[in-house]
Amino acid sequence: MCVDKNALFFTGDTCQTIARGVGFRFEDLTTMFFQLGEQQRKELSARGLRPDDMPKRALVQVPRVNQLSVNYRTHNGILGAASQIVSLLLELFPHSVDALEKDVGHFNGPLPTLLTDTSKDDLSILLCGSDPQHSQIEFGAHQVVLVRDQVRGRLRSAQWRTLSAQWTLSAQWRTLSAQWRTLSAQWRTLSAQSRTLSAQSRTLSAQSRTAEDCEGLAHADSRLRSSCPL
Amino acid sequence: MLADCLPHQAAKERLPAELQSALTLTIFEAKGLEFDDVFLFNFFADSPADDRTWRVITSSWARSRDESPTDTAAARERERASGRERCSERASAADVADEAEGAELSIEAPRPESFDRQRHSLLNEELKMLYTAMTRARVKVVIYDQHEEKRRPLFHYLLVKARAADGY
Repeated sequence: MCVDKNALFFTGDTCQTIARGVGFRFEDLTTMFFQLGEQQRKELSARGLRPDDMPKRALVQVPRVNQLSVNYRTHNGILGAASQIVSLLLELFPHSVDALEKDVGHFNGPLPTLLTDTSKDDLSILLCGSDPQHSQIEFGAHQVVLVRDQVRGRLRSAQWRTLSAQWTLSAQWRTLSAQWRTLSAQWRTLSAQSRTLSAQSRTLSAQSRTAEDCEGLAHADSRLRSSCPL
Repeated sequence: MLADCLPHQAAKERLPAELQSALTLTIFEAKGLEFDDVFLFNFFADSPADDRTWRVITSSWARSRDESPTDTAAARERERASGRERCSERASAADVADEAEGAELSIEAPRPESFDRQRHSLLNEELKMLYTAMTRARVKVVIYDQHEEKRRPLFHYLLVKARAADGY
């Protein structure tokens, strides 16, 4: 795959290995490189060579692991809750994730909101409320509803249907007004283009008249020539 | 609600059009993406893990609490005397809804389930899924779930941990 085995670069977060049946840790990767290095050393000594005789690049080395501990995406409210989940993973399945330092954000923020006593009516007020203080989410392009499974998430819950209808109204309004803005912008572009086009068409017809005139002239000229025997 | 009364099939036909305006993704689809706000819907209700598996979290919490030197014996005694362990939270309840203002969001500790790595292996994947879902957000995470039994262990865990860290 790669001639220089030391030139590989890996990046990832082992807590996010959610594909079924796939798991890896950076700890396992470094172990793999260590074993490759050991194997190479054995092969070299079998050929009567010492590692020092080899160019440094040709030797498999154990890669350095750098942990990125600053989270630039989000704040410490969400990161704190997420790190509690990582603690659970480390405690229950210690061989499943890398033990890393907790990552920190640049600023503090609200913890995840856990809705417990919220009825579906409250929920729709909460989510679609006109008051931005109490509205948890105004659905737009920067918001997402995460579900387990697209079909089940969309089709199975009656509550979801009701909610989505209510969101749809407010979201549709936003979409409509956005579309209106786009349309009026497009209209402006179109009318500008149409002005350009009619100007062009005027130029063209003028040109065509000129061409016709020229043609007429040529015709007249030829007629003139034919009628005037030299 | 009207939509609730609709036969399943009719709703099925109507739904995709209604949902077009709210961006709905599976956790797999959202992997690697980021959004300002994430609304996690029925993560526990649709979880392949049962409520007993989720209650392993409570046993982990109970163990850490019993081992914690900061927990005084008296406080634990009080908890035992009251027969149930409750955690409550005031700050975020005000954010939840107008009606909830001033009310305490409290979650009763579920019955702990002792951990068995074989039997509860699903929990590994589930926790990673939850972690991945939560960390898609830049600003807000709202977790809404209709399965009270299945959601309770994690909700309780997050609340006690956050309260211990003086977060909630």
